[in-house]
Amino acid sequence: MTRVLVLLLLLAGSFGLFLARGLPQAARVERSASALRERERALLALQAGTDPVEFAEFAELSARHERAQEQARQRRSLLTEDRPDSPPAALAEQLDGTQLGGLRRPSPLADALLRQAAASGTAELTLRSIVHALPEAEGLTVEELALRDEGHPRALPELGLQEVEAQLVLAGALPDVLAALERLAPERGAGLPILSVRSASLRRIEPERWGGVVRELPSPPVRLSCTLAVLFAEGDGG
Amino acid sequence: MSALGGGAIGIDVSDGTLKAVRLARRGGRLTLLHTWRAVLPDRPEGELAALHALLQQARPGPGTRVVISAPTRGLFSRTYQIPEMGVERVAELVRYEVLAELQQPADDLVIRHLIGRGAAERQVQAFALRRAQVEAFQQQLAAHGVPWDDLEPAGLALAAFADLERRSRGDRLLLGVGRTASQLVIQSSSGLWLRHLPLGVRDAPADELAERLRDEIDAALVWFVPADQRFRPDELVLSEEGALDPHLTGALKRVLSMPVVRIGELTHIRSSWRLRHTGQDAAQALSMGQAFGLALVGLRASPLRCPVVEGESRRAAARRMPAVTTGVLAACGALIALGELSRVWADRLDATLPSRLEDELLGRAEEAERLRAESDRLERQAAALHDVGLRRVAVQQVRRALAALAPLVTARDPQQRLHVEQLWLAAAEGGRAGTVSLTLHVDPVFDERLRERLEAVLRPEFGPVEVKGPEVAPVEGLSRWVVDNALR
Repeated sequence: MTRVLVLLLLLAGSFGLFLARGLPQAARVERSASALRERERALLALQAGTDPVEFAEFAELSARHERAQEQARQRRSLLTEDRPDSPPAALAEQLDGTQLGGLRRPSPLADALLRQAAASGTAELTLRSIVHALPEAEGLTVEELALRDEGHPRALPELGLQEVEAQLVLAGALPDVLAALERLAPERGAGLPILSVRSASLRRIEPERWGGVVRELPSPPVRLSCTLAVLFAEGDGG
Repeated sequence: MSALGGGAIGIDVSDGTLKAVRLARRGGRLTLLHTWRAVLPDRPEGELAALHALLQQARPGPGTRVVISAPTRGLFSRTYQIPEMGVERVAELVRYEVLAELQQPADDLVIRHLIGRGAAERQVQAFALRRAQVEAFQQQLAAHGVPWDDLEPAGLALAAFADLERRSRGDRLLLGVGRTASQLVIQSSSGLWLRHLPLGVRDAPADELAERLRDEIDAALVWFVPADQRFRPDELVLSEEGALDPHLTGALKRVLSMPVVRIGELTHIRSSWRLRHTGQDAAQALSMGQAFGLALVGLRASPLRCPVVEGESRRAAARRMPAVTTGVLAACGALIALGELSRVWADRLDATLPSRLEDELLGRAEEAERLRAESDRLERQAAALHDVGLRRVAVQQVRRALAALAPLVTARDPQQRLHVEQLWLAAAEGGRAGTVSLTLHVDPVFDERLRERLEAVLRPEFGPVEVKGPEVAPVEGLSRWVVDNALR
């Protein structure tokens, strides 16, 4: 009898437990199943509406992104990292000290350059970098140096840089002109701003236009007209 | 011994001696665990006191069935051949036949029957006992607190034991000669009959007892076996106290015209090792055929089970207790497990295709799109930076181009005019390759071979170049040649 009572109590307890916990859990199963069906429908709709990205494809994209990022970083650092070097002197100081014909003060071009440089910081820095890069060669004459848009930089979103375009015309012996042209090319570790030649035209000067200076030159004179792009970091401006 | 009813105690008190056998059954294997034998005192209710004492000693749990021999004085026995019909209809027919033959009120009788197998007809053994006698025995058992499960006819139990240990397909007689009474069983292919004989080894010397038993057997055969059926017994199987008496056995052999045999050893029941430790001998069990048969009935190992009275309901209920307990515990476990499983399933369902997966998929698609755009932008940036870097290479091409032309210029006659009029350089930009263009003004005398000479001097430096000319130069008397070279 005792055993029967114990069993009855046990059964009643279990049934009570089932009513208290089991049934709500069973109802929860029903709700969870319904929610799962809903989620499945939503996922199927999502899959139909979007192009699903496989894990492998995503991993490949991530790898490609990392490669591109690293490549861009490396190339950018090659071009823009600074060399511990003394910065070029101020433009006026350079113009005072240069031996280049047409640039040394007093001259109309030097005055014009100082005026342009006063327009903005980038203008000053552009002119300072160009003048600093030109070699001091006898007979090498700067006939023209002008900044486009008064030296205001133009954004280059693809490069993450900005540029100031300058027009430079030089005349002189061919070796000096070639040396000047090569000094205006980007140099590894030179840092910002980067000097570069976008286009250049090297022309022979007709003998009748040589003038007296030709006697001082080791070879017939040539004229170099080039378009320079001087690149700055984004945010640098006047 | 299994609490689920693997054991049984058969107790025979039908012939003046208490004989009891405890059997166990595991699978199809029967084991003899214990035997008891005690001469019953002649005083009133002496057998019940002995029964009580035995069961106090044996202490059978509810899982052990206790089967006691039913009082069978005045036992009525018949075998009927009945056409194939339903069980209830058979019972009704048997009851009708027995009552018709005995001409007694139905309430005074306990009628039982056994249905045998048959192709067209069924062989039904019917038994009837006096109800008053059976009920008085039940009351005495209850009064003495004797637990029991079934009351079985001792003769039927003897038949069950003989069928197990000494199988026979022919006709035979089973005779259990006890101290105060005997059980006669007539077995033939056409029926089974039981008879209680109030005659035991105590009542007469062996020779006289044998003759009286022969007379009883003859009378029973005449009474039971239909006249149209032949009964030629192959043997008489002797059991109980009579089997232990060699004089009676010899006397029976002399007076009966058939072999008299005893069951000499147990062949289908194994003796437990415990039997020897209690100073018992399996051989002494051989005179307990009826007790063995009762125990076999208790183990449900006999097809000749025909309880006169079904056992106590409390013992039956107690026997079902383990199963009930197991069932209740299983039900409790199932209820608790169902709740827990539901919780686990719900958790699993919640964790399957979680809501954040949709966000993740969307986020991944957007992130992939962003990565593509960003990679494109970075690749364009890298290409543009490369183009900037190539501007250094481009300016160096000017010197290379002029140096390449130098042999051509210096090899001419000084009177002949051949000069580079212009060199145009365009750096690579926006995916467009850089170019170097050379414009030469030459005396027309060079025109004929100038193309190949230009290609010859420039190809080693720049690869294939495009040479256009001659055209009329703006300077009078000179030809104009243009060499275009893409910087790769």
